[in-house]
Formats: sequence, structure tokens, C-alpha cells
Amino acid sequence: MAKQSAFEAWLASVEAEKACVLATILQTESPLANQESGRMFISSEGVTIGDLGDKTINAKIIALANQKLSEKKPKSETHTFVLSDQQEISIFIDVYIPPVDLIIFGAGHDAIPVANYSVSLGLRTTVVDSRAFYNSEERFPGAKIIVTNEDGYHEKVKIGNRTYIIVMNHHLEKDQKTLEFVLNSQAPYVGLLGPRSRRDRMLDALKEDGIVFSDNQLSRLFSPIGLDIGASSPEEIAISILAEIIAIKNGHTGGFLQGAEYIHNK
Amino acid sequence: MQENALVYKALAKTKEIQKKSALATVVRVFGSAYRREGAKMLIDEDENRTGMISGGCLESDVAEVAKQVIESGTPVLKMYDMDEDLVWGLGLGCPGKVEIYIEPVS
Repeated sequence: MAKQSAFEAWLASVEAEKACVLATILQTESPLANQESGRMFISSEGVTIGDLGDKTINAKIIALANQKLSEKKPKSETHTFVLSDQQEISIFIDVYIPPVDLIIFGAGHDAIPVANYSVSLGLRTTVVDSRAFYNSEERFPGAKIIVTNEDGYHEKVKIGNRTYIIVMNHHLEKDQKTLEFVLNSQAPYVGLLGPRSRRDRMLDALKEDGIVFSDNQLSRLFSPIGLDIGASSPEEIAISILAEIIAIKNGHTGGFLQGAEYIHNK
Repeated sequence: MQENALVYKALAKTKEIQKKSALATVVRVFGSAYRREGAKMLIDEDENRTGMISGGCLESDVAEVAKQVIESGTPVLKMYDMDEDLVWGLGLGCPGKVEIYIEPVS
């Protein structure tokens, strides 16, 4: 088999949903001899493929790519370099970051629009509920289904530092057990459906069982869940919840753009 | 949809069936723009388009350029200044400057 090219490696990495960078020299002088001239692929595991035609530039781009891959919300951008012969080249650094995961605990009727919108937003969506009758692929198309009760969480539900969580079991004890599990993870966001009094009741009950959360853990707990848009139907609530998740993922605070100087983060 | 997800799929498909295409990528943005750096559109030799590189202002022009790129094999870097009267005259109403790199893929 022929050696994989930078472009092919990039496409394969993107298809496998693995973070990576493709650097491309923006050249318009002549036909591309092949897809590979002036390209370099850098994976998040440190693999590099390709050549930008200059040792110093290669090193600079690898350093820049690694820096981007370590950032929370890296931006793709064009950099211009001056070569030793004073010629300028522009290189586009294309950063691919895979979609985040969203796990919904609770497969009730109101979880359906949440899962639907989440799937259409391109989030990798999972629904966890022990009731196979409710928690099915028919009800949650495009989502991964995990049928388990709290006892199976540790074994079956994997939570990373890019996994967003929604707790909506509509069941006090289940929500309590779920909170204990998800707050003890790296999840950047744990949204809990229901009023503040219900949340406090659960946290108090957990405290009585000797389970106390740190400020850091509690700072990731969002309750009542969602942005304040006066949502009342399941669909409106789903939009309120997902809008909050998008805001947190993008490092924004929510609210109206009315009169804002910038739409995108500077 | 996750940014560019459909473009990646279409790109893999055109490579698999070896259909000639051009890939357009937003590489520089000055001011405001609907789509940011990294946004992509794939145009194949039958002029099928996948993905968005603006809010609908530039797609048609870029698709025209893509035809030449597919034919000549030479990439094009094109700056669209949407503050220009000409563009405003067309009623596009997307302020800002956007630079797009259109390269052949096969």
C-alpha cells in the first residue's frame, strides 16, 4: 500500500473524529502537481505527514499546530511567513476539533426534542435510562442508547472532559444517584432539570449520606437548567437547554446580541 | 450540523469514486461574516455543491471559479470585498471582507 498522503491522513482523521491540523500553502502560481505539494498534516498524537518545503517553516507550523490542538477553542487562520529569499508565503492552518458528547439521563417524553435537536446540531448524543420501552432507537433516532440503571453507570457510561450532561429522570432518587455519578466526573457541564428547591433537597440528602461536592464540582452544575427564555413546552425547554450548552461550549454568556459590537468572540 | 460535517463526507465520496472536484475554504475574514475561517464548500465537476462558505452571498460566484479550477488544476485565492458598491448593488448585504482559497481535489 502506498504511503498515506497528508491530505488523505487529514480526511481519515476527520472522518474518525480525531482532532488534527492540516496546513496548506496558499499558492496560485501553477497547477498543483499533486494534492501533496505544500501540505502538512499534524495529528493530536504528534504524527506529522508532508512537507511545506522549508525546514524552519515545517518546525514553526508543527509548533503552532500543537499549540492550537492544546487550546480549548482553537481558531483556524492564515499565517504569513517571510522566507530566507524574502519571498512571502501564506499558510492556512485548518484546525479540526471533533464534536462534543451530550449524555441525557432520562428517556421521558420531554427528552425526545432534546435528543432530536442535539443530533441535528451534530453533538454525539447518548440517552441513558433503564426502561427499554422508553429508551429505544425508535424514540431517539441518531442517538446512542444505553439501557441501564444507576448500578450500571460506572461500567457502561463513559464521561470525558468534553462530555456535556443533562439530568432529567423526573425521579428524585434517580436524579440524586445520577448527580453523584456525573459530578464526580470531568464533565464541564451538568444541567439538572427542575427548580432550585428540588436541587437543594437532593444535595442536602446526598450530604446526609456523606457525599459533599467541592466548589469546583458545584460550579459545573447548572440548575435550574437552561437559558431564561420563558420556555414552557418540551420543545421550547429543549431549545433553552441546548442554547445554554452551546453558550458554554463556545465560552459565551448567553443573552441578547441586541446592540453588541461583536457577534463572534474576539 | 457540526461544522463542515457534510463537506467531509462529500469529500470522501468524491475521492472514492474519483470525481474531479474543487474545495473552497474561507481562509481570511476581515470584519463581520456569516461563516468564519475554515468554513468549506465542495463543488464537483457536475456542479453539485455541498456546504456553505457565506450566508448565500458568494456560493454562486465561487462555484463559477471552481469550474475553472477543476479545468486548469490551478488553485485560486479570491478576495471578496462585500462593502463594495457593486456587491451592495446586487443587494447581497453581507458586510465584511472574505478571502477564499479554491483548490482542485481528485
